[in-house]
Amino acid sequence: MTLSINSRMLIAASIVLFGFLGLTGLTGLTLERSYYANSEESFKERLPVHLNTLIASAELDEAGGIRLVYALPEARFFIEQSGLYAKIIANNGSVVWSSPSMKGMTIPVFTGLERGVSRYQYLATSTAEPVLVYNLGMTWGDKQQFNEGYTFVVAESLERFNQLQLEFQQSLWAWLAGVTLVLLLMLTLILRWGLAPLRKVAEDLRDIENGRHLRLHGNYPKELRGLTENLNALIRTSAEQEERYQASLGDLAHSLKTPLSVLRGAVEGSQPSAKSLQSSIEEQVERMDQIVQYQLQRAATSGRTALMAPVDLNTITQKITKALNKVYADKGVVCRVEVEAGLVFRCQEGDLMELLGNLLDNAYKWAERQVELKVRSDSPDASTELGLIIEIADDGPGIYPEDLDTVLARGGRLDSQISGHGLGLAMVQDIVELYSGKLRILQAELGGAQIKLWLPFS
Amino acid sequence: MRVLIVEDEAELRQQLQQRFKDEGYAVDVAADGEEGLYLAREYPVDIAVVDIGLPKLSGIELLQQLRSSGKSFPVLLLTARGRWQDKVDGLDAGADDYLVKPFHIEELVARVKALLRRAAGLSRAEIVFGPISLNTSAQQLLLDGVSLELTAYEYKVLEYLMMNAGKVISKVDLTDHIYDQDFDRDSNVIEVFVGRLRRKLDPDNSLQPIETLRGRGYRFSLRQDGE
Repeated sequence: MTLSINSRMLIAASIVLFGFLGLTGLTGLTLERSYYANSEESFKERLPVHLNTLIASAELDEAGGIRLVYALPEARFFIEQSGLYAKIIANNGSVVWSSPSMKGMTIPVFTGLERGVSRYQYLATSTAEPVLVYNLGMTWGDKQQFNEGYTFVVAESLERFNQLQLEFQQSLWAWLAGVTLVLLLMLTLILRWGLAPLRKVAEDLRDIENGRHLRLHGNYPKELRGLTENLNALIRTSAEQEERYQASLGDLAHSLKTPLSVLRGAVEGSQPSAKSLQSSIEEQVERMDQIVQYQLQRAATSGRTALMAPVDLNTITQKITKALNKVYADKGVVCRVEVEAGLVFRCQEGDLMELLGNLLDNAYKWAERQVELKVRSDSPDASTELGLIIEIADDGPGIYPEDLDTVLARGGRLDSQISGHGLGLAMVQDIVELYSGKLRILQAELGGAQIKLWLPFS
Repeated sequence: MRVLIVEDEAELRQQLQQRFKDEGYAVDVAADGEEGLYLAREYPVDIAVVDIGLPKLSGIELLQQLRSSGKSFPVLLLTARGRWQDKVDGLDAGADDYLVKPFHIEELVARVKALLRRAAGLSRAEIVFGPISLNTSAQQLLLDGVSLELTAYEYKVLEYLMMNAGKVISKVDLTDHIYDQDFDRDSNVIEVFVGRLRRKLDPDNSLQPIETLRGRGYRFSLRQDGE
């Protein structure tokens, strides 16, 4: 199954897109994680600073309790539920101090840490506020027992932090989605733009089918130009072929009318004798046969068309002379063939075969013993371009100058006394004209006729 | 001589059959390629006239199958298309000659005779062995320049023997090549023809042109002039 270009592009683009999406996803996740890690790190670093301020302002009183001697610089400790909280808990269980911001709420904090031990905890307050808690175990002076120690607690609300994370995530993914969309759009546009010439060809072809245009027109990119130019040539050739068929058909119908009228006249004439009727029929049948043959062959001759493969002259001449040697075996004709090595000609093989077959058949028919065929590439004179030169000569009686017109006329025949078709040269003349070539009839050195023709290579 | 005609157009087939019968040939006819192939394999055909455009098996395919199965008798192709491509293809497939329709039956007969002569290694219509001269075109026998009358079957036997001069021809062979397929084979008739030919060609029994090889058949044993 052959995939359409559209499907191929779509599949390829989808693969690229999925790859890109995968990469984007990975990139997004990585960015998200590292941003989170960074934010968390700096968030965590802030808590010990607050804690240190708290420790610095706390002092042991005479009763063995703790009191704050300096005011805390951070105002949020004093605003109710501001999001920054602090607490000092004695390791025996009693709360020594808690910041005014904690009014009306508790943090289920673990009490009692050994001296110097600190820890972070993610917890929720009694008001369901998520907080990050930092605890540190402390003792004063010579009171080194656990029971005599205190645990300092600082907690900060994670709401703002979480909010920032969410905002970052949202804008990150929005960006990535936006870029993907733009990419998709660009890909679609590129595809449309890239495939536009092909769509134009398809549209032009539809126009030709519908009869709106006769050929593909417009400027095509150079990758397509070979295709479109050949298509145009093909369209032109097939139109010409069509015209030739029409013309042949018309000619055929018209030219058959004359012999038919003669026959009708002969039958309806006043008491025709059987003998005269027979000869009349014979003559007109012969004429009709020639007309049919000529028109059939003419219609089948294609001439120079687009995309013609080169025909190897050596092979084709060998085939024809082999066939003719068989047919004329009794006559013992010797055919000398000289074909330039590796010579090729771009044409319909059938046309060249028709041309060489007719000419060589005539030569074999008329020859006493010798036929000569020479094929080479050359130009007949300095002003003419390079082409195929074919010379066919025989040692037969030759053609009289006064008969030349008859020989080349449609269906003209000098050889009615020898079996066969008198159409040969007229057919050849037609093919030569189709290939814009030239044909000349000369006196051969061998004694008979020499047909010399030139067919330009392009 | 036995000719096989393979032509699908009934009218033309019949015209050809009649014409070749009149010329003294044993004629087999087939209306399509498969029947033609069957007849060509079953009967000792000397020459075949085959139309290219046949139902079931085309003339070219029939020809290719005949040649690949070793049948080497001459074949003349009839073609409705005068294109050289077709002619070359036909001759390349193993045909010996072609004729484009419509044709004159005389021309076809003349070409068939020429092909038969060529197959027998003769270049002219006249076969000459010493005083005996047979003109296959005019179907005339001359002995020392004097014309001799032959019946149609005497001529057929003599022509076949002379065209195959030097070879041993059995009575069955002779019967096969001279009579149509529906003939009741009685080899005594051949003996009678040979006897009559001997009396006409060699009244004083000095030339002995036709040898009898007991149990094997006959042989035309004179040497051709110039050999």
